[in-house]
Amino acid sequence: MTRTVVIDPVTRIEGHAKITLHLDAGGHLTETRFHVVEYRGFEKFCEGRPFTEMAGLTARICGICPVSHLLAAAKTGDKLLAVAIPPAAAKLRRLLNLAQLTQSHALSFFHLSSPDFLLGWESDPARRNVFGLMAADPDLARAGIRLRQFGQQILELLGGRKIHAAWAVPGGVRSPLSQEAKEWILERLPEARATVTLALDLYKTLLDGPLAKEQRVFGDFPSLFMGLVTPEGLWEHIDGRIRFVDAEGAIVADQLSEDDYADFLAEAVEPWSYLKFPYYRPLGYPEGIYRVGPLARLNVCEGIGTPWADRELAELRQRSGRPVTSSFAYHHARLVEIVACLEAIEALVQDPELMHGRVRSRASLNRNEAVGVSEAPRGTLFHHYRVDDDGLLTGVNLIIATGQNNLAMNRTVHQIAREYIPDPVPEGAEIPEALLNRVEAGIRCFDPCLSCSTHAAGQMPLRLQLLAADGAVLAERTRG
Amino acid sequence: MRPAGLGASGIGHSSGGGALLIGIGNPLRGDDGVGWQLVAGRGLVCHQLTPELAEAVAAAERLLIVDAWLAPPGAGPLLRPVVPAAVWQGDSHRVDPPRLLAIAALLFDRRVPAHELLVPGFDFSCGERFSPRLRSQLPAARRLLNGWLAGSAAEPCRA
Repeated sequence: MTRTVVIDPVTRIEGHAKITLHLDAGGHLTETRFHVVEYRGFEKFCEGRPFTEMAGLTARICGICPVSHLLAAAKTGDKLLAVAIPPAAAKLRRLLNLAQLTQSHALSFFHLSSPDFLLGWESDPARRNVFGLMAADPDLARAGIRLRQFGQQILELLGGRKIHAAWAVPGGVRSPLSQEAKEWILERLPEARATVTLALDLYKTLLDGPLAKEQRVFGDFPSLFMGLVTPEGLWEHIDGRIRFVDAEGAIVADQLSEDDYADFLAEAVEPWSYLKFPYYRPLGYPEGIYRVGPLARLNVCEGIGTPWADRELAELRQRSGRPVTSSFAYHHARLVEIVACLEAIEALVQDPELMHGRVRSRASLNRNEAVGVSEAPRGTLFHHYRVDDDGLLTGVNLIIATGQNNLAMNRTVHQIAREYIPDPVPEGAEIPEALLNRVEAGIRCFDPCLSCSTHAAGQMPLRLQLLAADGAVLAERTRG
Repeated sequence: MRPAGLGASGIGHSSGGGALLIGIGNPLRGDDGVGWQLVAGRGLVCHQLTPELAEAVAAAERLLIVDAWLAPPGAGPLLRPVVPAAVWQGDSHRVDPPRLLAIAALLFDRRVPAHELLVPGFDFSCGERFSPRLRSQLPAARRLLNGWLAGSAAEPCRA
């Protein structure tokens, strides 16, 4: 009789999911599935609304990365208006996205993932969270909280609120940066830099010791990587064009336009998950597996273009290769991206053009279809709208970063399960919690946002199930 | 709405005498927005408590958290003290008032006297209007809030 292990719910992610481990009659692992079990359907209920509302509407998809939807929707709106936005607006949007990347990456590293690294995979699961981290290392926890607060505060200074600020609009942004806000950012930057220095030093020490095995077995496999780059091939997060590189680092496609996304991306569906499975169309499904997000962005670019971030990128490549194929390196990549963000924020807020009062171009509808793209913390985000002559939406397609990592997340949990789950699993055996935690941690490498990827109402827990060949549940763990 | 001052840091949010008000809720979900309305212009408002608020709490002399409440039948607004919890109790995705106080104590070495003002909510469906039953509770809730601001809430009290 075949069996299945189920992890349900998966914890310390944004959304509701479960993992099932399927065993054959001999107790050998045959398949691992990451199921996303929530659904909301934003694409459908946005139909009929004015496209000018999309920034505000789609920002409501998520409380963690509303800025990403805000920017993608605003950029799509720019194209429907057929306007060039004022230079100050472009820079303010860039500042907003850098702050978003900073706060989201800080949340992922300090609040969600570092408890595994610092408290240990085998530590008490009731305390293996950010609150346990506070008790064990209050200085680090406080620094991490303040780093996230730094990013959130910039969002609030720009948009008037930390989440769901409908500040970016088609044609630009609603308001400029104040002098008081600029001064606050500059005052807090040194502390933010010190915190990420602390985190990088700590993480590299762990990588040289207790995390060396995780770096090797947490989702290390060949795949394509996709992300935005500048025309020169440098790191980009809001403008630029799309590049794919393969597992050898060769450029497979470059300077692609988001307008043509349907030519190079396609989406498959599986009956056991609400999360679609995007793939690189020329290679087909599932051979067209690709990864997006911090690691992919660092893999596709030639460099970042700022001195500290470029040094950190060089060290990441020296330690882990180029391209880096281990999904565990997403954690390291997030820290390198925070460095890049802080350097870029410092340069931007000192740019006199940022303070210019003209921040919005006004026009009426000039096109009936447009695609916008930006880099969300978790990867490349596409918004595709069709509108009628009154500007009412007749079609919406959202391709979300987490969805694009779906094939990679499934492959990652399978690789981890193969490494850590006994082979064969003895009949009636209990699976230690620490092993299941590692399987979950494979998902956390990608910092998935399931609320976004299914455009769904967010719940946080995770389930894991061990299933027999006939579908019978042999073991189950649920955590919230 | 945009709070005055620099927002999440909590700087500039004291209601005077070192008192910090935090209103919790979703202003787009009917009665759930009562915390926002009662605190608007006088403190911080948020959808939910997060660890980032601990610093503002630690900087305050005393704290009042205002929230909607699924009250037992017949109950009115309730003002009661809050004591810090063990920070690791409960799930890791939720920060409740006792845990927020615990984080402030752990990370910022400050034990802040705190109360919560719970206002019975009846209709949490989508919309920005309060139910008639909640509206009828607002005068009593305001009396409790003003009494707390005046420093007269040492023990739990009901309107």
